[in-house]
Amino acid sequence: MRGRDFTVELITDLTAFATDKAVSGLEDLASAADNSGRSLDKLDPRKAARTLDGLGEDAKAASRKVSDAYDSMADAARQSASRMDASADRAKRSMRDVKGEAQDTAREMFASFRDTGDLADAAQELTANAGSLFGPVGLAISGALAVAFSQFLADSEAAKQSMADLTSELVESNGRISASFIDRKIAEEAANDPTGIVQLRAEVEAAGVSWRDYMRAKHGDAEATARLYAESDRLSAAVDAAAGSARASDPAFMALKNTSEQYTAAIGQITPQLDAARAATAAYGAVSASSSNQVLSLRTEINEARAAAANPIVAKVSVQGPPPGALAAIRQNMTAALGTIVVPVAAGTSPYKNTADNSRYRG
Amino acid sequence: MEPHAFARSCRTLARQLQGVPDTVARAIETKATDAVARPLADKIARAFTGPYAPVLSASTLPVSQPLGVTIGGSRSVSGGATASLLVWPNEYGGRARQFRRARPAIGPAVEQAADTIVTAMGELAAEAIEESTRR
Repeated sequence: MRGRDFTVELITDLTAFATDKAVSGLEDLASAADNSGRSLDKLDPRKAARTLDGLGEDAKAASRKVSDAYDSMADAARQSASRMDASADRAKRSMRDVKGEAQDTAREMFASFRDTGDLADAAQELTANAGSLFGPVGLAISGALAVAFSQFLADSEAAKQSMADLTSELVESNGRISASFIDRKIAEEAANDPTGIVQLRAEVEAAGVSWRDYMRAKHGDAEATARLYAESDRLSAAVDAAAGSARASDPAFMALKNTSEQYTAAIGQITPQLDAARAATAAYGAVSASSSNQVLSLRTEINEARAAAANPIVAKVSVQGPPPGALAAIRQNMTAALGTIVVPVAAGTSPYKNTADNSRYRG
Repeated sequence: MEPHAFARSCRTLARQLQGVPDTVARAIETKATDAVARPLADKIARAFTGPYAPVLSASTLPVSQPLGVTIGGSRSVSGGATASLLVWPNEYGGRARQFRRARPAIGPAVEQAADTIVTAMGELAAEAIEESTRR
Protein backbone atom coordinates (compact mmCIF):
# COMPACT_ATOMS: atom_id res chain seq x y z
CA MET A 1 0.00 0.00 0.00
CA ARG A 2 1.33 3.33 -0.88
CA GLY A 3 1.23 5.74 2.01
CA ARG A 4 0.37 9.38 1.87
CA ASP A 5 3.26 11.50 0.72
CA PHE A 6 4.75 13.98 3.08
CA THR A 7 4.79 17.25 1.18
CA VAL A 8 6.34 20.59 1.87
CA GLU A 9 4.26 22.90 -0.30
CA LEU A 10 5.46 26.30 -1.42
CA ILE A 11 2.51 28.59 -1.78
CA THR A 12 2.99 31.70 -3.84
CA ASP A 13 0.70 34.55 -4.77
CA LEU A 14 2.95 35.62 -7.61
CA THR A 15 0.26 34.87 -10.14
CA ALA A 16 -2.55 36.33 -8.09
CA PHE A 17 -1.72 39.98 -8.44
CA ALA A 18 -4.22 41.97 -10.42
CA THR A 19 -3.14 44.05 -13.37
CA ASP A 20 -6.72 44.90 -14.35
CA LYS A 21 -6.67 48.33 -12.79
CA ALA A 22 -3.39 49.31 -14.34
CA VAL A 23 -4.54 47.92 -17.69
CA SER A 24 -7.81 49.85 -17.70
CA GLY A 25 -5.97 52.96 -16.49
CA LEU A 26 -3.58 52.68 -19.37
CA GLU A 27 -6.39 52.12 -21.86
CA ASP A 28 -8.21 55.21 -20.58
CA LEU A 29 -4.99 57.09 -20.86
CA ALA A 30 -4.48 55.88 -24.42
CA SER A 31 -7.99 57.08 -25.34
CA ALA A 32 -7.34 60.45 -23.75
CA ALA A 33 -4.06 60.70 -25.64
CA ASP A 34 -5.80 59.77 -28.88
CA ASN A 35 -8.44 62.44 -28.29
CA SER A 36 -5.74 65.00 -27.71
CA GLY A 37 -3.88 63.70 -30.72
CA ARG A 38 -6.96 64.03 -32.93
CA SER A 39 -7.31 67.65 -31.87
CA LEU A 40 -3.71 68.22 -32.81
CA ASP A 41 -3.77 66.18 -36.02
CA LYS A 42 -4.64 69.24 -38.01
CA LEU A 43 -1.13 70.46 -37.30
CA ASP A 44 0.40 67.40 -38.88
CA PRO A 45 0.12 67.27 -42.65
CA ARG A 46 1.18 63.63 -42.83
CA LYS A 47 -1.72 62.58 -40.62
CA ALA A 48 -4.18 64.60 -42.66
CA ALA A 49 -2.84 63.00 -45.80
CA ARG A 50 -3.37 59.55 -44.34
CA THR A 51 -6.94 60.39 -43.36
CA LEU A 52 -7.48 61.59 -46.85
CA ASP A 53 -6.19 58.33 -48.31
CA GLY A 54 -8.98 56.55 -46.47
CA LEU A 55 -11.67 58.34 -48.49
CA GLY A 56 -12.96 57.58 -51.95
CA GLU A 57 -11.25 58.21 -55.26
CA ASP A 58 -13.56 61.13 -56.06
CA ALA A 59 -12.68 62.79 -52.85
CA LYS A 60 -9.01 62.28 -53.52
CA ALA A 61 -9.29 63.64 -57.05
CA ALA A 62 -11.14 66.71 -55.85
CA SER A 63 -8.69 67.24 -53.07
CA ARG A 64 -5.71 66.91 -55.40
CA LYS A 65 -7.08 69.74 -57.48
CA VAL A 66 -7.42 71.91 -54.41
CA SER A 67 -3.98 70.85 -53.42
CA ASP A 68 -2.60 71.84 -56.83
CA ALA A 69 -4.26 75.18 -56.48
CA TYR A 70 -2.58 75.67 -53.17
CA ASP A 71 0.76 74.68 -54.59
CA SER A 72 0.36 77.42 -57.16
CA MET A 73 -0.52 79.85 -54.41
CA ALA A 74 2.56 78.81 -52.52
CA ASP A 75 4.57 79.49 -55.67
CA ALA A 76 2.92 82.84 -56.00
CA ALA A 77 3.82 83.77 -52.48
CA ARG A 78 7.42 82.99 -53.19
CA GLN A 79 7.58 84.93 -56.44
CA SER A 80 8.02 88.64 -56.88
CA ALA A 81 4.94 90.84 -57.15
CA SER A 82 5.17 91.01 -60.94
CA ARG A 83 4.96 87.27 -61.31
CA MET A 84 2.31 86.82 -58.69
CA ASP A 85 -0.59 87.45 -61.06
CA ALA A 86 0.56 84.74 -63.47
CA SER A 87 0.84 82.20 -60.67
CA ALA A 88 -2.47 83.24 -59.24
CA ASP A 89 -4.00 82.71 -62.69
CA ARG A 90 -2.63 79.20 -62.75
CA ALA A 91 -4.12 78.71 -59.36
CA LYS A 92 -7.46 80.02 -60.57
CA ARG A 93 -7.42 77.62 -63.51
CA SER A 94 -6.75 74.70 -61.19
CA MET A 95 -9.50 75.85 -58.94
CA ARG A 96 -12.06 75.89 -61.77
CA ASP A 97 -12.24 72.14 -61.49
CA VAL A 98 -13.59 72.37 -58.01
CA LYS A 99 -17.33 72.84 -58.41
CA GLY A 100 -19.95 74.63 -56.40
CA GLU A 101 -19.80 77.32 -53.83
CA ALA A 102 -16.34 76.40 -52.77
CA GLN A 103 -15.23 77.74 -56.15
CA ASP A 104 -16.73 81.13 -55.39
CA THR A 105 -15.08 81.16 -52.03
CA ALA A 106 -11.85 80.25 -53.71
CA ARG A 107 -12.23 82.97 -56.33
CA GLU A 108 -13.05 85.45 -53.65
CA MET A 109 -10.02 84.28 -51.86
CA PHE A 110 -7.78 84.84 -54.85
CA ALA A 111 -9.31 88.22 -55.48
CA SER A 112 -8.38 89.32 -52.01
CA PHE A 113 -5.09 87.50 -52.09
CA ARG A 114 -2.39 89.89 -50.98
CA ASP A 115 -0.07 88.22 -48.57
CA THR A 116 0.25 85.13 -46.47
CA GLY A 117 -1.97 86.65 -43.79
CA ASP A 118 -4.87 86.86 -46.24
CA LEU A 119 -4.06 83.43 -47.51
CA ALA A 120 -4.23 81.99 -44.04
CA ASP A 121 -7.60 83.64 -43.41
CA ALA A 122 -8.96 82.53 -46.76
CA ALA A 123 -7.69 79.03 -46.32
CA GLN A 124 -9.42 78.87 -43.01
CA GLU A 125 -12.61 80.24 -44.57
CA LEU A 126 -12.52 77.71 -47.38
CA THR A 127 -11.62 74.92 -45.04
CA ALA A 128 -14.55 75.84 -42.87
CA ASN A 129 -16.96 76.06 -45.81
CA ALA A 130 -15.82 73.08 -47.81
CA GLY A 131 -16.75 70.62 -45.13
CA SER A 132 -20.34 71.80 -44.99
CA LEU A 133 -20.70 71.96 -48.75
CA PHE A 134 -19.66 68.59 -50.04
CA GLY A 135 -20.25 66.01 -47.39
CA PRO A 136 -17.50 63.42 -47.54
CA VAL A 137 -15.92 65.05 -50.53
CA GLY A 138 -16.00 68.34 -48.72
CA LEU A 139 -14.32 66.74 -45.78
CA ALA A 140 -11.70 65.44 -48.13
CA ILE A 141 -11.22 68.93 -49.46
CA SER A 142 -10.95 70.26 -45.94
CA GLY A 143 -8.33 67.62 -45.35
CA ALA A 144 -6.55 68.57 -48.55
CA LEU A 145 -6.65 72.18 -47.52
CA ALA A 146 -5.22 71.36 -44.17
CA VAL A 147 -2.49 69.41 -45.94
CA ALA A 148 -1.89 72.04 -48.55
CA PHE A 149 -1.93 74.85 -46.05
CA SER A 150 0.60 73.09 -43.91
CA GLN A 151 2.67 72.35 -47.00
CA PHE A 152 2.45 75.95 -47.99
CA LEU A 153 3.74 77.03 -44.63
CA ALA A 154 6.34 74.34 -44.51
CA ASP A 155 7.78 74.94 -47.94
CA SER A 156 11.06 73.21 -47.27
CA GLU A 157 12.18 70.15 -45.35
CA ALA A 158 13.77 72.40 -42.75
CA ALA A 159 10.57 74.36 -42.29
CA LYS A 160 8.60 71.12 -42.07
CA GLN A 161 10.94 69.94 -39.38
CA SER A 162 10.63 73.25 -37.62
CA MET A 163 6.83 72.96 -37.80
CA ALA A 164 6.94 69.49 -36.30
CA ASP A 165 9.35 70.66 -33.61
CA LEU A 166 7.20 73.68 -32.88
CA THR A 167 4.09 71.54 -32.67
CA SER A 168 5.59 69.07 -30.27
CA GLU A 169 7.17 71.90 -28.27
CA LEU A 170 3.77 73.60 -28.08
CA VAL A 171 2.16 70.42 -26.91
CA GLU A 172 4.95 69.75 -24.44
CA SER A 173 4.92 73.24 -23.00
CA ASN A 174 1.15 73.59 -23.07
CA GLY A 175 0.87 76.21 -25.77
CA ARG A 176 3.94 78.32 -25.19
CA ILE A 177 7.29 77.92 -26.87
CA SER A 178 9.83 77.85 -24.10
CA ALA A 179 13.01 79.90 -23.97
CA SER A 180 15.13 76.78 -23.62
CA PHE A 181 13.65 75.34 -26.84
CA ILE A 182 14.53 78.53 -28.72
CA ASP A 183 18.05 78.60 -27.24
CA ARG A 184 18.53 74.98 -28.25
CA LYS A 185 17.41 75.61 -31.84
CA ILE A 186 19.69 78.64 -32.15
CA ALA A 187 22.62 76.64 -30.77
CA GLU A 188 21.86 73.85 -33.28
CA GLU A 189 21.77 76.30 -36.16
CA ALA A 190 25.02 77.90 -35.05
CA ALA A 191 26.69 74.51 -34.71
CA ASN A 192 25.48 73.33 -38.14
CA ASP A 193 26.71 76.36 -40.07
CA PRO A 194 29.12 78.48 -38.05
CA THR A 195 30.36 80.62 -40.97
CA GLY A 196 26.88 81.02 -42.46
CA ILE A 197 25.47 82.33 -39.24
CA VAL A 198 28.21 84.96 -38.92
CA GLN A 199 27.46 86.15 -42.45
CA LEU A 200 23.72 86.11 -41.80
CA ARG A 201 24.21 88.12 -38.66
CA ALA A 202 26.18 90.76 -40.57
CA GLU A 203 23.43 90.98 -43.20
CA VAL A 204 20.62 91.12 -40.69
CA GLU A 205 22.29 93.76 -38.55
CA ALA A 206 23.17 95.78 -41.65
CA ALA A 207 19.44 95.86 -42.41
CA GLY A 208 18.86 97.36 -38.98
CA VAL A 209 17.15 94.27 -37.55
CA SER A 210 17.92 93.13 -34.01
CA TRP A 211 19.90 89.92 -34.42
CA ARG A 212 18.63 88.60 -31.11
CA ASP A 213 14.99 89.18 -32.04
CA TYR A 214 15.58 87.84 -35.55
CA MET A 215 16.95 84.53 -34.30
CA ARG A 216 14.41 84.16 -31.52
CA ALA A 217 11.52 84.97 -33.87
CA LYS A 218 12.86 82.53 -36.44
CA HIS A 219 12.60 79.77 -33.88
CA GLY A 220 9.12 80.60 -32.66
CA ASP A 221 9.44 83.32 -30.02
CA ALA A 222 6.09 85.10 -30.30
CA GLU A 223 7.30 88.22 -28.47
CA ALA A 224 10.35 88.63 -30.68
CA THR A 225 8.13 88.14 -33.75
CA ALA A 226 5.79 90.83 -32.47
CA ARG A 227 8.74 93.21 -31.93
CA LEU A 228 10.02 92.60 -35.47
CA TYR A 229 6.60 93.20 -37.01
CA ALA A 230 6.04 96.27 -34.81
CA GLU A 231 9.34 97.76 -35.96
CA SER A 232 8.51 96.91 -39.56
CA ASP A 233 5.09 98.56 -39.19
CA ARG A 234 6.67 101.60 -37.53
CA LEU A 235 9.10 102.03 -40.43
CA SER A 236 6.34 101.55 -43.01
CA ALA A 237 4.18 104.09 -41.19
CA ALA A 238 7.10 106.53 -41.06
CA VAL A 239 7.64 106.06 -44.78
CA ASP A 240 3.93 106.59 -45.46
CA ALA A 241 3.87 109.70 -43.26
CA ALA A 242 6.97 111.10 -44.91
CA ALA A 243 5.60 110.29 -48.35
CA GLY A 244 2.78 112.75 -47.74
CA SER A 245 5.04 115.69 -46.99
CA ALA A 246 8.47 115.01 -48.48
CA ARG A 247 9.45 114.97 -52.10
CA ALA A 248 10.36 111.62 -53.60
CA SER A 249 13.87 112.82 -54.31
CA ASP A 250 14.46 114.01 -50.74
CA PRO A 251 17.61 112.12 -49.55
CA ALA A 252 16.23 111.75 -45.99
CA PHE A 253 13.02 110.24 -47.34
CA MET A 254 14.99 107.95 -49.66
CA ALA A 255 17.12 106.79 -46.74
CA LEU A 256 14.06 106.13 -44.61
CA LYS A 257 12.38 104.25 -47.44
CA ASN A 258 15.54 102.28 -48.03
CA THR A 259 15.82 101.37 -44.35
CA SER A 260 12.20 100.23 -44.29
CA GLU A 261 12.65 98.12 -47.41
CA GLN A 262 15.82 96.53 -46.13
CA TYR A 263 14.14 95.77 -42.83
CA THR A 264 11.13 94.21 -44.54
CA ALA A 265 13.39 92.20 -46.85
CA ALA A 266 15.43 90.90 -43.92
CA ILE A 267 12.31 89.80 -42.11
CA GLY A 268 10.98 88.40 -45.38
CA GLN A 269 13.74 85.78 -45.34
CA ILE A 270 12.25 84.16 -42.30
CA THR A 271 8.58 84.75 -43.09
CA PRO A 272 7.83 81.03 -43.60
CA GLN A 273 9.23 80.28 -40.15
CA LEU A 274 7.42 83.22 -38.59
CA ASP A 275 4.19 82.14 -40.25
CA ALA A 276 4.74 78.54 -39.25
CA ALA A 277 5.26 79.56 -35.65
CA ARG A 278 2.29 81.87 -35.75
CA ALA A 279 0.05 79.30 -37.43
CA ALA A 280 1.17 76.57 -35.06
CA THR A 281 0.55 78.81 -32.07
CA ALA A 282 -2.81 79.93 -33.45
CA ALA A 283 -3.86 76.40 -34.30
CA TYR A 284 -2.74 75.25 -30.92
CA GLY A 285 -4.66 78.12 -29.37
CA ALA A 286 -7.78 77.02 -31.24
CA VAL A 287 -7.60 73.53 -29.90
CA SER A 288 -6.00 74.36 -26.60
CA ALA A 289 -9.22 75.70 -25.13
CA SER A 290 -10.62 72.21 -25.28
CA SER A 291 -7.41 70.30 -25.01
CA SER A 292 -5.21 72.16 -22.56
CA ASN A 293 -7.11 70.78 -19.63
CA GLN A 294 -6.94 67.43 -21.33
CA VAL A 295 -3.20 67.78 -21.74
CA LEU A 296 -2.86 68.67 -18.08
CA SER A 297 -5.05 65.83 -16.95
CA LEU A 298 -3.17 63.62 -19.38
CA ARG A 299 0.03 64.43 -17.51
CA THR A 300 -1.60 63.60 -14.21
CA GLU A 301 -2.93 60.41 -15.68
CA ILE A 302 0.48 59.53 -17.07
CA ASN A 303 1.98 59.86 -13.63
CA GLU A 304 -0.87 57.97 -12.03
CA ALA A 305 -0.70 55.23 -14.63
CA ARG A 306 3.06 55.00 -14.22
CA ALA A 307 2.56 54.62 -10.50
CA ALA A 308 -0.32 52.19 -11.03
CA ALA A 309 1.69 50.19 -13.55
CA ALA A 310 4.70 50.10 -11.26
CA ASN A 311 2.88 49.10 -8.10
CA PRO A 312 1.61 45.64 -8.89
CA ILE A 313 4.91 44.62 -10.41
CA VAL A 314 7.03 45.82 -7.54
CA ALA A 315 4.73 45.11 -4.67
CA LYS A 316 3.45 41.71 -5.63
CA VAL A 317 6.70 39.97 -6.41
CA SER A 318 6.82 38.15 -3.13
CA VAL A 319 6.12 34.75 -1.80
CA GLN A 320 2.96 34.54 0.17
CA GLY A 321 3.35 33.45 3.74
CA PRO A 322 5.09 34.58 6.82
CA PRO A 323 8.23 36.70 6.87
CA PRO A 324 11.35 34.58 7.54
CA GLY A 325 11.33 35.53 11.23
CA ALA A 326 7.89 34.05 11.69
CA LEU A 327 9.00 30.70 10.34
CA ALA A 328 10.36 29.73 13.75
CA ALA A 329 6.91 30.27 15.25
CA ILE A 330 5.37 28.25 12.46
CA ARG A 331 7.85 25.51 13.06
CA GLN A 332 6.82 25.47 16.70
CA ASN A 333 3.18 25.33 15.71
CA MET A 334 3.95 22.62 13.20
CA THR A 335 5.74 20.65 15.90
CA ALA A 336 2.78 21.13 18.20
CA ALA A 337 0.37 20.06 15.48
CA LEU A 338 2.39 16.99 14.63
CA GLY A 339 2.71 16.31 18.33
CA THR A 340 -1.01 15.93 18.55
CA ILE A 341 -0.74 13.13 16.04
CA VAL A 342 2.14 11.42 17.73
CA VAL A 343 1.40 12.07 21.36
CA PRO A 344 -2.07 10.52 21.74
CA VAL A 345 -0.59 7.15 20.92
CA ALA A 346 1.34 7.47 24.12
CA ALA A 347 -0.97 9.81 25.91
CA GLY A 348 0.44 11.31 29.03
CA THR A 349 3.77 9.65 28.56
CA SER A 350 7.09 10.73 27.18
CA PRO A 351 7.17 10.53 23.42
CA TYR A 352 10.77 9.41 23.66
CA LYS A 353 10.03 6.22 25.64
CA ASN A 354 7.71 3.49 24.65
CA THR A 355 5.69 3.58 27.83
CA ALA A 356 2.31 3.36 26.22
CA ASP A 357 -0.11 0.73 27.30
CA ASN A 358 0.16 -1.59 24.38
CA SER A 359 -1.45 -4.49 26.16
CA ARG A 360 -4.44 -4.43 23.87
CA TYR A 361 -2.15 -5.32 20.98
CA ARG A 362 -0.63 -8.28 22.77
CA GLY A 363 -3.64 -10.41 22.57
CA MET B 1 6.09 62.34 -27.35
CA GLU B 2 3.46 62.72 -30.05
CA PRO B 3 0.01 61.93 -28.53
CA HIS B 4 -0.86 59.04 -30.89
CA ALA B 5 2.51 57.42 -30.34
CA PHE B 6 1.99 57.86 -26.65
CA ALA B 7 -1.46 56.25 -26.93
CA ARG B 8 0.05 53.35 -28.86
CA SER B 9 2.70 52.77 -26.24
CA CYS B 10 0.02 52.94 -23.52
CA ARG B 11 -1.99 50.26 -25.31
CA THR B 12 1.08 48.10 -25.84
CA LEU B 13 1.95 48.36 -22.18
CA ALA B 14 -1.68 47.59 -21.23
CA ARG B 15 -1.63 44.49 -23.43
CA GLN B 16 1.66 43.39 -21.92
CA LEU B 17 0.42 43.99 -18.39
CA GLN B 18 -2.71 42.00 -19.13
CA GLY B 19 -0.56 38.99 -19.96
CA VAL B 20 1.74 39.31 -16.98
CA PRO B 21 -0.11 37.08 -14.46
CA ASP B 22 -0.38 34.29 -17.04
CA THR B 23 3.23 34.69 -18.03
CA VAL B 24 4.37 34.59 -14.43
CA ALA B 25 2.18 31.52 -13.79
CA ARG B 26 3.67 29.75 -16.80
CA ALA B 27 7.20 30.71 -15.81
CA ILE B 28 6.66 29.38 -12.31
CA GLU B 29 5.09 26.22 -13.67
CA THR B 30 8.01 25.52 -15.96
CA LYS B 31 10.97 26.89 -14.05
CA ALA B 32 10.16 26.90 -10.35
CA THR B 33 10.65 23.15 -9.93
CA ASP B 34 14.27 23.41 -11.01
CA ALA B 35 14.94 26.86 -9.64
CA VAL B 36 13.25 26.56 -6.25
CA ALA B 37 11.96 23.09 -5.38
CA ARG B 38 15.03 21.09 -6.41
CA PRO B 39 17.53 23.10 -4.32
CA LEU B 40 15.15 22.88 -1.37
CA ALA B 41 14.76 19.13 -1.85
CA ASP B 42 18.56 18.74 -1.95
CA LYS B 43 18.87 20.82 1.20
CA ILE B 44 16.27 18.74 3.05
CA ALA B 45 17.78 15.50 1.75
CA ARG B 46 21.20 16.50 3.07
CA ALA B 47 19.71 17.51 6.41
CA PHE B 48 18.37 14.07 7.37
CA THR B 49 20.19 12.25 10.11
CA GLY B 50 19.59 9.00 11.89
CA PRO B 51 19.30 5.39 10.69
CA TYR B 52 16.71 6.23 8.03
CA ALA B 53 18.55 9.19 6.62
CA PRO B 54 19.59 7.38 3.39
CA VAL B 55 16.05 6.14 2.76
CA LEU B 56 14.53 9.52 3.47
CA SER B 57 17.14 11.36 1.43
CA ALA B 58 16.58 9.09 -1.55
CA SER B 59 12.83 9.62 -1.37
CA THR B 60 12.99 13.39 -1.08
CA LEU B 61 12.01 14.81 -4.45
CA PRO B 62 10.99 18.13 -5.89
CA VAL B 63 7.40 18.33 -7.19
CA SER B 64 5.78 20.87 -9.43
CA GLN B 65 2.07 20.41 -8.75
CA PRO B 66 1.75 21.70 -6.12
CA LEU B 67 5.17 23.27 -6.07
CA GLY B 68 7.23 21.89 -3.25
CA VAL B 69 9.10 18.92 -1.96
CA THR B 70 7.63 15.52 -1.32
CA ILE B 71 8.97 12.66 0.71
CA GLY B 72 7.64 9.75 -1.19
CA GLY B 73 5.07 7.21 -0.16
CA SER B 74 6.60 4.19 -1.86
CA ARG B 75 7.78 1.30 0.27
CA SER B 76 11.31 1.95 1.26
CA VAL B 77 12.34 -0.45 3.96
CA SER B 78 12.13 -4.18 4.38
CA GLY B 79 9.20 -4.00 6.78
CA GLY B 80 7.15 -2.26 4.15
CA ALA B 81 7.22 1.18 5.72
CA THR B 82 7.36 4.03 3.34
CA ALA B 83 9.61 7.03 3.60
CA SER B 84 6.57 9.20 4.24
CA LEU B 85 5.77 7.07 7.25
CA LEU B 86 9.35 7.13 8.45
CA VAL B 87 9.59 10.87 8.24
CA TRP B 88 7.36 11.57 11.23
CA PRO B 89 9.19 9.46 13.79
CA ASN B 90 12.49 10.47 12.27
CA GLU B 91 11.66 14.10 12.84
CA TYR B 92 9.77 13.87 16.12
CA GLY B 93 10.49 10.51 17.53
CA GLY B 94 8.01 7.66 17.74
CA ARG B 95 6.51 5.12 19.96
CA ALA B 96 8.86 2.33 18.99
CA ARG B 97 12.37 2.33 20.34
CA GLN B 98 13.86 1.89 16.90
CA PHE B 99 12.32 5.19 15.88
CA ARG B 100 14.56 7.11 18.12
CA ARG B 101 14.45 10.69 17.41
CA ALA B 102 16.88 11.97 14.82
CA ARG B 103 17.80 15.64 14.53
CA PRO B 104 14.86 17.56 13.02
CA ALA B 105 15.67 18.13 9.37
CA ILE B 106 12.72 19.51 7.41
CA GLY B 107 11.73 22.51 9.49
CA PRO B 108 15.24 23.93 9.91
CA ALA B 109 16.06 23.26 6.25
CA VAL B 110 12.93 25.10 5.08
CA GLU B 111 13.61 27.90 7.50
CA GLN B 112 17.19 28.27 6.31
CA ALA B 113 16.11 28.18 2.68
CA ALA B 114 13.28 30.70 3.15
CA ASP B 115 15.28 33.71 1.99
CA THR B 116 16.65 31.84 -1.01
CA ILE B 117 13.14 30.66 -1.93
CA VAL B 118 11.74 34.19 -1.76
CA THR B 119 14.63 35.54 -3.81
CA ALA B 120 14.42 32.79 -6.42
CA MET B 121 10.66 33.22 -6.78
CA GLY B 122 11.09 36.98 -7.08
CA GLU B 123 13.71 36.52 -9.77
CA LEU B 124 11.52 34.11 -11.72
CA ALA B 125 8.62 36.55 -11.62
CA ALA B 126 10.81 39.52 -12.49
CA GLU B 127 12.31 37.65 -15.45
CA ALA B 128 8.84 36.65 -16.65
CA ILE B 129 7.54 40.20 -16.33
CA GLU B 130 10.56 41.55 -18.12
CA GLU B 131 10.15 39.00 -20.88
CA SER B 132 6.44 39.69 -21.32
CA THR B 133 6.93 43.44 -21.46
CA ARG B 134 9.77 43.06 -23.97
CA ARG B 135 7.59 41.32 -26.55
